[in-house]
Amino acid sequence: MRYLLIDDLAHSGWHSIIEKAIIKAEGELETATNYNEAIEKIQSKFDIIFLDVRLTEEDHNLKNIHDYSGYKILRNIRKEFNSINFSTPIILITASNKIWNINLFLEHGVDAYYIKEHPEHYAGNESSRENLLNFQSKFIQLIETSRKKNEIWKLCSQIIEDLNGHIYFKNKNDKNHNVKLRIIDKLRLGYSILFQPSSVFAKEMLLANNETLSFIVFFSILEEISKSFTKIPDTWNQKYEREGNWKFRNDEYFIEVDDKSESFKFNYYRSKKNQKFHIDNLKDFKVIGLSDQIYSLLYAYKALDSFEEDFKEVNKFRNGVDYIHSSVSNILNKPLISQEELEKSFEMNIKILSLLKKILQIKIH
Amino acid sequence: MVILIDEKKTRQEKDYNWDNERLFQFRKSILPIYTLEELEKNSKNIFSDGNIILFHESFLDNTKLKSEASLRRQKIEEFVNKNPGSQLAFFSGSKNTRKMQDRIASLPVTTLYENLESFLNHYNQGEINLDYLLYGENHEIEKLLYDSRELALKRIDSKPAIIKHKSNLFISTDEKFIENPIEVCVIKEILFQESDVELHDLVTNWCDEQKYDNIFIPICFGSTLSDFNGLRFATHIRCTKTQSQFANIFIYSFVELSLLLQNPFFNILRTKNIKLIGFKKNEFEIMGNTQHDEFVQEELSHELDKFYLKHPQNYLDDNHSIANVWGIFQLARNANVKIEDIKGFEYNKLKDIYFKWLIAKNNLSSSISEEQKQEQIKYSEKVIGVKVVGKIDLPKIKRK
Repeated sequence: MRYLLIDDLAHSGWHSIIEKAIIKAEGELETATNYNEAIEKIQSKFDIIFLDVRLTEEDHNLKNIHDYSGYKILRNIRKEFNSINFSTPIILITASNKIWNINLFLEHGVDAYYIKEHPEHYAGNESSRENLLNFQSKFIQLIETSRKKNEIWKLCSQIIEDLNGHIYFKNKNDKNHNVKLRIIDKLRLGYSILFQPSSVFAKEMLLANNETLSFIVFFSILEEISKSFTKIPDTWNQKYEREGNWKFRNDEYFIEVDDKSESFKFNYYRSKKNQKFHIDNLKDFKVIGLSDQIYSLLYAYKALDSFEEDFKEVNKFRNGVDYIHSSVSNILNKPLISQEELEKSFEMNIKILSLLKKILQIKIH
Repeated sequence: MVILIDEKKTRQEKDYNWDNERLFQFRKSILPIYTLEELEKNSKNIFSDGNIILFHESFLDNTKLKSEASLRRQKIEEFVNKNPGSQLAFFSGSKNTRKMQDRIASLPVTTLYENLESFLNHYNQGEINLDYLLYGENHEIEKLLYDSRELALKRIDSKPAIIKHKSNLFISTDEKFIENPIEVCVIKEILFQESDVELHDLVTNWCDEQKYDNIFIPICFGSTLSDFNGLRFATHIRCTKTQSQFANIFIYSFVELSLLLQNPFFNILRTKNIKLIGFKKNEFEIMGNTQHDEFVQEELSHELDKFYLKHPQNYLDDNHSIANVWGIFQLARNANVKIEDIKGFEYNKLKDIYFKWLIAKNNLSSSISEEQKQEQIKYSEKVIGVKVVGKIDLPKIKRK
C-alpha cells in the first residue's frame, strides 16, 4: 500500500505517529511538506492521502480558507475526473474545529477528517480515546473504499480513453461527439452516485441504495453506444424517426427492408433471426428494446460469441433491479430491492463497465 | 533608533495589541522589520552604532538562513559588543526569565511587548535603558529585591531548624546560601538552571532519590529575582511523577505578597500543601513539624484545576502548533505507543510546564487501561488483515 502525508510538520512527529498508530506499518507513508512538493507527489497514485489544512505560516495569516495551501492541493487532486488521484480517498487532518471549514473540505472531495486534539478544547480521556478509534475506523473503511473507488475509476478512465481514441468518436463535428460527451457525463454521474456518502438513516429508512442506482446509470450508456454505432442517415430521417432500415456503421443491418419483395428481416433478433416479415408489420417494431439493440449490435460486430454471456448477466440483473422498466412479474412478485441483488450490486457495476470497455475495444474494420 | 525584528506579525497584532496604528505612533523611534528581505535591504541602517536591536530569536528559523541562524545571532552580538552605543535584546516565546548582561538582554516575548511602550516613552525622552523593557516602569524592583534578600539573610538565625521524623529536601541557591538550614535534611543547589527543561530535569533527579515529606524552595533564584522562579519550580514538582510529587512544599520568601500577585504561577499557592512561608529558620521548623493532611493522587486533578496556565508563546498560533504537540502526545498515548519512539517529535516540549500541567491535571501520566490496550491490539491485527485484502494494483493509465 502507498500513502501520502501532506503536512508541513510531517517530520516533527506526524509521519511517525500516523505510521505507528494508524497505518501500523513502516515504509508505506510518503511525505510532502509544502505545496510544490505535494503537487509533485500527487502526480503518482496513492491509496490514501492524509492532508493538513495549513502548510505555511502565511496560511495562518490568511482569512479566506480558499487561499489555504491544503485547500488548493485538494482542488488540484479533485480538479479533473482523469487526475490520477481523483479516486484516492483523502483524510483531512486539521487543528481547526470550525465545522464550516471542515464542511467546505468535505464538499470539495475530502472523505473523512481527523481533528487534532487541542488542550483548550479538551473533553476528557474518553473523548480522546474515541477520537483515535474514529480515526482508525475511518482509515480501515477507506482502505476498502480506496480499492472500490480505484477499480471503478480505472474502468471509467479506460472507457474515456477508449472513447477518445475510437474511430466513431474522433470527429468533433460529428453528432457522435455529443454522444461521447453524454457517455462521459454518465460515467461521472454513475461514479458520483456510487460513492455518494449515504447515512444509515437513508439506507435503513429510505432504502437508499447507491450501488444499484449507479448500475442503472452505467447500464444506460448502452443506449448511447447503440445509437453511436448506428449509421444515422440510413436509419433515421431528419426528425429522428426510423422509417425502415436499421443499419450499423460497419454497414451490417439490424433491420433490412427489401422494397422489391415488400418484406424486411432482422439479422439478429432473438428467435426472429433471418425471418422475413411483410413490410406492413414494420409498425410492430417501431420500438425495439435496448437489450435487442445490443444483442444485434454485438452480432453485427461479430462480438456476440465473446460477449453474449457478459451481456446476459448484466441484462438479467438490470431486469431484476430496474426501477423504471419493471416487468409485471416483478411488480406482482418481487420486493423493489432484494437482498440477493444488493449483495452483488457493486460487482455488477464492475461487470457493466467492463462490458462497455470491451464493446469500445471491438476492432472496427 | 529601535529596530524591532519579529516575523510574527499576527502574534504582534492579535496577542500583544501592537498593530500598525500603534507602531505608527512611535514611528520616529521604532522601525519594525518582518521579513528577511526587509532586513537585508535595510541592513546598513539597522546595524549602525547607536541602534537598539530587539531580535526575535527564531526570526531566521523559517528563512533560507535557517542553517546559519545561530551563527547570525552570534554576529549580531559581536556587532553590539563592538559598538558601544548599541544595545540588543533577544526575545522568544520559549524564554521564561529575563536576563541582562552588559548591553545584551534576553526576555520572554510577552514581557517585551508588555513593556515596549514604557521603554519607547523613556527612549523618546532620551533615557535609553533596557531595564524598562525587561522590568517595565518598576524597573528598580530587581535592586529592591536584592536588598531585601540581603537583609533577610543577615537576619536569619544561625541555629538550624529541627524537624522530627520527617525527610526534608532543602533547595538553596548558589549566591546566597543559608548555612545549616535544617538539622537533618538533604540540601540541593539551584545554580543557573531556570528553563523548564532544566527545572524538569532537576525535579526528576532530586525528587525521585527518595520520598521526601517536606521540600523547601527559595522564592527567587536564577538571573532575575522578580521572576519568582520558586513558584514555577513548585508547579514542576507537583506536575512531575516522582516519589516526592505529593510532598509538602514550603516556599521560603522575603517578598511582599503583593509583588507576587501578577506572577502566572501565583495560584499554585492556592493548591493543597503548598505554602508561602517566611525567610526564617523557626518558620521552617514550625511548618516542617506541622502535621498536614496527606495529599493523594486522586486529589491532584482537582488541585491543579484551581489555576490556569496560558500556553507558551513560541508557537505559530494557538490552534495549530499547540495541537501538534498535544495531538501527537494524545494519539501516541491512546494508541499505546511510547512517545519517545515518535521520530522527529521534540520530547523536550513535554517538559514545558504548560504541557506538564495539562498532563498532570488530566491524569495522563499513567498508561491507558488494559481494555484500551486490548482494543489497540485488535486494531493492529484488523488493519494488517484489511490491508492485505484491500491491496490494489496501481493503475497503468497514463498520467493526464
